[in-house]
Amino acid sequence: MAASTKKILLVEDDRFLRRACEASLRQRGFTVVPAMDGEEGLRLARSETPDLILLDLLMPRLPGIEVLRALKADGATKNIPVLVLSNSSREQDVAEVMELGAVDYWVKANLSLKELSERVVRLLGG
Amino acid sequence: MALGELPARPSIAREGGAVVIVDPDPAHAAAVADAVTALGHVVTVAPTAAEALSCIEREAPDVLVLALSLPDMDGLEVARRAGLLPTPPEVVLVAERATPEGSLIALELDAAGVLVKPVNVERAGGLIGRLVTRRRRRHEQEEFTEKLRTLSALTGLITSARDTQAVFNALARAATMLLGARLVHVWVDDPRAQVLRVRGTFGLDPEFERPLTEYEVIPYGSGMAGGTFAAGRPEFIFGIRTSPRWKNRRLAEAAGLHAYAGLPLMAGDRTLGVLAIVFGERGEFSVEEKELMQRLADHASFTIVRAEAREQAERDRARLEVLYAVSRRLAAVHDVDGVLNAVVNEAARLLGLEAAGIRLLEGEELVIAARTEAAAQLMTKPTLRLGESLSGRVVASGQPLIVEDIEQETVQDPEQRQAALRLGYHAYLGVPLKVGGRAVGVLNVWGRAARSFAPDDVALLSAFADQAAVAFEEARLYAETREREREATNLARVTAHLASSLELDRVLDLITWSAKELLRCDAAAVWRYDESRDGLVAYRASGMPIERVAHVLVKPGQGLAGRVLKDRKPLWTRQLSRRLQDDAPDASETATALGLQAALAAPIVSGDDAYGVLVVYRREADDFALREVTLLSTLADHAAIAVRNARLYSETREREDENARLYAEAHTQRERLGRIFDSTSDGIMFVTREGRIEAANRQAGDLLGTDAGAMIGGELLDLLDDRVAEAGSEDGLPLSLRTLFSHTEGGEGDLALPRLKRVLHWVAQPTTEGGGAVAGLTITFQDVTRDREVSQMKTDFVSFVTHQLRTPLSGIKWMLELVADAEVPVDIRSYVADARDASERLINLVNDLLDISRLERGRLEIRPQPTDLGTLTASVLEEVAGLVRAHDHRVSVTGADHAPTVIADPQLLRQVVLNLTSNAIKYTPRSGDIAIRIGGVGDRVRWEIQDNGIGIPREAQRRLFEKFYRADNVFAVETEGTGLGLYLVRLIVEQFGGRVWCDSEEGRGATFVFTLPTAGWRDGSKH
Repeated sequence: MAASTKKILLVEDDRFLRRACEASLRQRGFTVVPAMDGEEGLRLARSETPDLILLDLLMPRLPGIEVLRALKADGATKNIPVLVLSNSSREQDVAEVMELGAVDYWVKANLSLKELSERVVRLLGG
Repeated sequence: MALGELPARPSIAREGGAVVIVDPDPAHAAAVADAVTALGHVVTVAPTAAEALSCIEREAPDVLVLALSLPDMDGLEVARRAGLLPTPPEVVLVAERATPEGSLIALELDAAGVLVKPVNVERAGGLIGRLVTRRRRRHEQEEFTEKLRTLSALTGLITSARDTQAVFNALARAATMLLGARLVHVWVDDPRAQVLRVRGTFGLDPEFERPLTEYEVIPYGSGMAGGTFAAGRPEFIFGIRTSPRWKNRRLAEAAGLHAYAGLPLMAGDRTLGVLAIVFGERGEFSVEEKELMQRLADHASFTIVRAEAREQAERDRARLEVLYAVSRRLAAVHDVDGVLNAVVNEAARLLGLEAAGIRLLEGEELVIAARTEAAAQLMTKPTLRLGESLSGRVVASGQPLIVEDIEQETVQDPEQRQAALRLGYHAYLGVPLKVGGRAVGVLNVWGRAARSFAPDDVALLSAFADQAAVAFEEARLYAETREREREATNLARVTAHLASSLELDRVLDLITWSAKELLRCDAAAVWRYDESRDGLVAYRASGMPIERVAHVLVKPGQGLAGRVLKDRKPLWTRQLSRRLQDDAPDASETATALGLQAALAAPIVSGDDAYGVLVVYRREADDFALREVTLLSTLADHAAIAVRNARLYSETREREDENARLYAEAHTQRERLGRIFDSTSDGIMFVTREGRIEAANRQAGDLLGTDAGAMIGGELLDLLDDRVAEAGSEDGLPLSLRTLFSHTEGGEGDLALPRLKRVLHWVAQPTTEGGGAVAGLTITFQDVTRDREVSQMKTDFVSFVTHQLRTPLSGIKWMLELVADAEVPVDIRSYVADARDASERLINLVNDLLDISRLERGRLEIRPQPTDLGTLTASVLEEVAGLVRAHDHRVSVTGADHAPTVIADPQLLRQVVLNLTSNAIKYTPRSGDIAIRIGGVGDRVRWEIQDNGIGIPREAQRRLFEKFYRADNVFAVETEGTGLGLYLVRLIVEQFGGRVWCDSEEGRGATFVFTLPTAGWRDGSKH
């Protein structure tokens, strides 16, 4: 399966969600690099050069929105597609995230893992 | 070169030369000395260098005969030192023997000659004689040059200087320098005061200057200068200390004064003053010195003449200016008194005096017309006859009159003369005021000093009097014209009053009175026709007591007035009493009771309407001329016009009163509205369709951070732009405001004013005029800052709670999903499935709550777009297909293919359809029938879903769409509902301008319906 070669950076501070998401994506053959907070996420995004970044917004140390901003400001990472996964659905957050160049904004509670994976697969063309 | 810099050098007055012979050899010295003395020179002999030097310094010799070998010093050194003197002597060297060296030394020293011992005495004498002569000539030459320089400098100064005093001072100084005088005075004549005044002085040491000031003025003939002035020729007096003319003996003694030279300063035949020069001890004056003195005196004369000319020119110019100013000022005054007062004041000002006055000829008498305050006591007699006193003489003769000293004058009225003298006035000048060559008055001025007036003054005052006379005459003509104008105006006013006055009684009184006066009658009356009594009654009267005829009623056709009323033609009678038999009550009463005889009557008719009759009466039997008949008729016509006017007026006034009342009412109403307008807490303004603010209340100003008054007339959008832009906001005005004036539908929205830290909610509503056209928008502003803050806080809180709830719920959901996908026993799989459903419900509940919270606060972001309800329904049915299958329902859809498009947010509308559909599925027992129908009704789309389920109790139907409401019978089926679904449905439908309701009978199924407008959806219009 072509998707097995794809590397996904999962930036998520909630360990249950991180674990569930990681497991689900692994099961579907993706390489998953987990990050526990924004700082780690940014660091790994630079060192690992993933194919896709799944980014939470409300996180300790560095909020997702700042991570996104930093990623898009950095020539090395600005072309990596970023999917924002958040349970906050404030309009201004959605608007800001899209403005900064995120691929999409998904509410985690409204997604099943299956749907998430399918969308990721669609996105990565795998 | 200033005269102060003239070198002061002693003149050489010796006849022979001064010779110093320096020689240690007495015999030799004596021999030379004898020879030189014999030639008439003064010789001093010095045997040593020391003696020689002191001698040279003391004597300033002409020639120094110097032996080179001296006992105490080299002779050459003596020669060198002598050469340093201001006037070095000619040096003749005496050498021991003839050597080339001696000649060289002589050359070096610029010596005049070299003698070799033994000296040839004769030759030596000859040499010295020639040297003295040569030297004398040179001195004279130098002196002469010096004098020329001094004089030429003086001349230059005299021709260029404007300050006479400075010239005289320089002149005195030059005289001192050139003549070696001790004291020089330039005395100048002051003819008015009959004295000489010092105008320039030089000389004397400072210690003598003070006593000198006492002698700055001397009367004619007094003292040295006074004598010279009187004599009119030069005087040279020696031994002045003993001269009886010399006054200040002490000064003369202290300063060692001796000789006096006085030269009169002449200009033609006039003596202008005296150049007085005082010397110390000295001998007779040489011809040359006298000539020099005369030249200085000529200079002084020239200076005086020139100064006089200049002063004269200056005075003339000043007077011309004053005259010009005065004539201008006079031209601006138009009343006679004004002119006369201006004349006396300007005349006094012109001559620098206080007292001036005018008398004018009235008939044969001169009366006081104007006077300055100071002249009030000088012109005491109210009237003077022609030829009497000074004024009388001036007018009688038509010539100016100067009185040099009033004390010597006898013509004047003694009383006035005494007054003048008592007040310190000594001189008088009067000039005639002439109009057309005839003297019509006199202009008088008084001076305090005797001989105060010069011919100049006469000329000036005469010129001025001519001006004044012209102005006076003009003013008089002007006043006369004004008077005639006034008469004409008054006449016109009477006519105007007659024709236009709106108070009838006053007009009638005026007409009655005018008729009596104009026709020279004794009485007049207006008889008014009284319709109710069909007769004439006396209404207004002049010259007769009206109450005496008040009871009289004159029938039309009866008597004089009655006939005039009937015939509407004027009529007169010579003798009223003769008509007594004519059954004429007016005639009998007026004639017998008031003794009136002749009468003339004219009808007062306006159109077809006869008001009454105007009658004039005379005591004597008399005829009336045609002119008088016409005049009375005219007056009667005036009366008619007045009657008509008065009627119109009273009608108009009634209407005006009504108008005024209405206006007052409207005014009160407007004030009240204004107060209401200002006392609301909302800002209100009216804006024209073009966007210009026409009215704004106080609060509108306050809320927008400006003055309501200042806003009026401005552009609303400019004002708001300004308010928003200042805060550095990039957004500018919201679109809804920016496009507010491109249509007339109004709108509403929020406007954040960050600078004022304020959020305003505005609502604009079209305001129509009476005709129904939209005149503009009434816009209200409400301060919702606090509301919006609270709202924001709530939103933030809800967002936070939602996030905090959804995160663990997501965890549970995903974990369960992992479990479900794993290899687990079947029974556990069903538990997990239930747990997943439960978590899903919880998530849905949270989502519903979030949506409701947002919809309620209008925070949900809505993206309305054309949405096809048919497609949307199909997609929902696809989603719930599993559920439908699980319940084994049959679902039918009709009208989906041609459903009109609505404009709504598809996501939200989907929730509506989904909610209603899943409700129908859930609350319909297994294998039920569900029908969905979509169709257009008018401008709305109707979507309905019918089931054959448990139905809804009637009482519950109304409350179904309330929050957290659940019908009682619902629990019989299931208990999963949150009571939020239908509430959310209602919120969304209403959001898009639609309505939702339910038709049901319990136990017989239910139909849920919602409608939405097909078009015309607009942000904000839903309210």
